[in-house]
Order: sequence, then C-alpha cells, then structure tokens
Amino acid sequence: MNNLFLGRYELSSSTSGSFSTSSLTLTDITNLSVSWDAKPGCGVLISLWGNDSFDDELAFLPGTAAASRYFELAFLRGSTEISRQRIQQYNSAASQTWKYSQNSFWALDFPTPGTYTYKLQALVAAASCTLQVTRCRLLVADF
Amino acid sequence: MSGLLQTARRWAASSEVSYSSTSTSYADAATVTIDVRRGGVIWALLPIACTGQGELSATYNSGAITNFGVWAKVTRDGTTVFENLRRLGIIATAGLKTSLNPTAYFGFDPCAPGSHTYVLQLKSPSSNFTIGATGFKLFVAEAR
Repeated sequence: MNNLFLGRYELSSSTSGSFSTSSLTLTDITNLSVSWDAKPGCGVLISLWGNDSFDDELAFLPGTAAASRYFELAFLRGSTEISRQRIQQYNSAASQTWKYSQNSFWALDFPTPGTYTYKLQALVAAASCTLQVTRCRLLVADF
Repeated sequence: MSGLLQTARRWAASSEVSYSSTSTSYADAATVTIDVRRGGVIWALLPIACTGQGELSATYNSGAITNFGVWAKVTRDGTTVFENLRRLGIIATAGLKTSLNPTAYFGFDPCAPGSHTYVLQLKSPSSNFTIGATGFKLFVAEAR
C-alpha cells in the first residue's frame, strides 16, 4: 500500500512483541492500537505493518492435521468491528508453520469526523492452533 | 492562505461477493461503477461493511491436483487490468479448503477521467476444485 495513500499517518507506539494466541474468541493483539483523529473528507486506512526488520512476521501454526484450521483478523473502530478476514490452512504435517505478508492485511473505514481508537484482534479455530504476531505495528493513515 | 483545498475522495463498492463454483470459465463475482474526475483508480478486494468473514478459497474435491489455486481477473469496461493465478499448497485430501487473503489483491489502474465499470471475475484452474468467495466487496476509489 506504500504508494496508494498520501497524508497523515500514525504507527502504534510499540510493536506486538512476541504475541501469541490460541483463543477461540477475538483477543486484542498486544500494543496494536492507535488513536486517530478522523478529518472531514478523508477515509481511514488501517493496516498490519512490518517493523522494518527481517524477523517481523505473522505466522500460523494449524497444529495437528485436520480440516477447518483457520485464523481470523478483525479490525475495530472502538468496539465496532469494521472488517474481518479468515484464512484457512490445512496442515499435511502437524509441525508446519505458515507465514504471511504482514502488510497484506488491511481495512478501510469512512467514519464521521472525530477521534477514534483503531485496534486489531485475532482468534483461531481450535485450541491446537496458534497465531503469532511478532514485532508488528498497526498503521493508521488518511485515505 | 496557501495550498490546495482537498476534496473528498470518490469511492464505490460492489455488493457483497458470494461465489462458489468449479467452473473453469470466468464468471462475474462483483461489479461496481465509479465516475472519476481525474485519471487513475485504486481497486481492492475488501471486507468493508460485510457480514461474516472475508474469504477467498479453493477446496480440493477429487482427481488431479495440478495448479491447485484461484484464478482472479479484474476488468475495466471489459479490458483486463489484472489477472492472476494464485497457486496454493498441495492438498491431497478431498474436501479440505485453503484460503487466500482478499486484501492481498489490490492495484492501481491508470484510467482516463469519466465513468468506469469494474468487474471481478473468478474461475477454477480445474473442475477438480471449488473456488469460493464470500464476505468481501470489490472496492474502487479515485486516486488523489
């Protein structure tokens, strides 16, 4: 998305560290929260963002081989869910890990002007699944 | 006072996509029209104001697994602006699904000013796979 927007932007002040979840309900990803002053006439772009390091990553460990292994990422404005994406990944071997480009998970929002908190949450399909978000940030920008 | 007064960016979104097919011929999955004042349109597959979870997937049914994946095409007024086969990991067990991230699909179309209709088309590389798409829209917006 680097060339698709211009203007103000804000990154979460801290990274997600070594966040890991096996929760079956949506859970806040550590530190991936940004307060944003939405201006008139502007949409808002919200994106998971790499931290300029080779070892930033979004990784999914589906666990034991079975169908219906997935994770979901949800973008929220306050307590309102504005977008959710599901990625299913079957594992032919229980030890396999799947990795994804962090910056390919993003959302757009068109709120009325005001100050909002945007954040990112995650869940997995089964307790044997694990989603890891390592040293990523949340980007919020004018669109 | 200096600088330019920025006007709101025009944008539009299709109806929510709901597609499931084993067809190896392209079929329309989403259509959206936008009237842009200057040239250039950003397009994307976005789970914006949709119900459920945005998902683009392929499910292996039976037979050969060659080219397991998803064909996607975006056209502007009938002209192709994007076409791609996303190949996925080999799955040899019938009924298992693998997903792609819809927001990994986006692009810029250097079109002329005026009204344009964008269409998302999907097809399967083989009748042995079911392509599924749900919970997202074809979004278009004018470039600044």
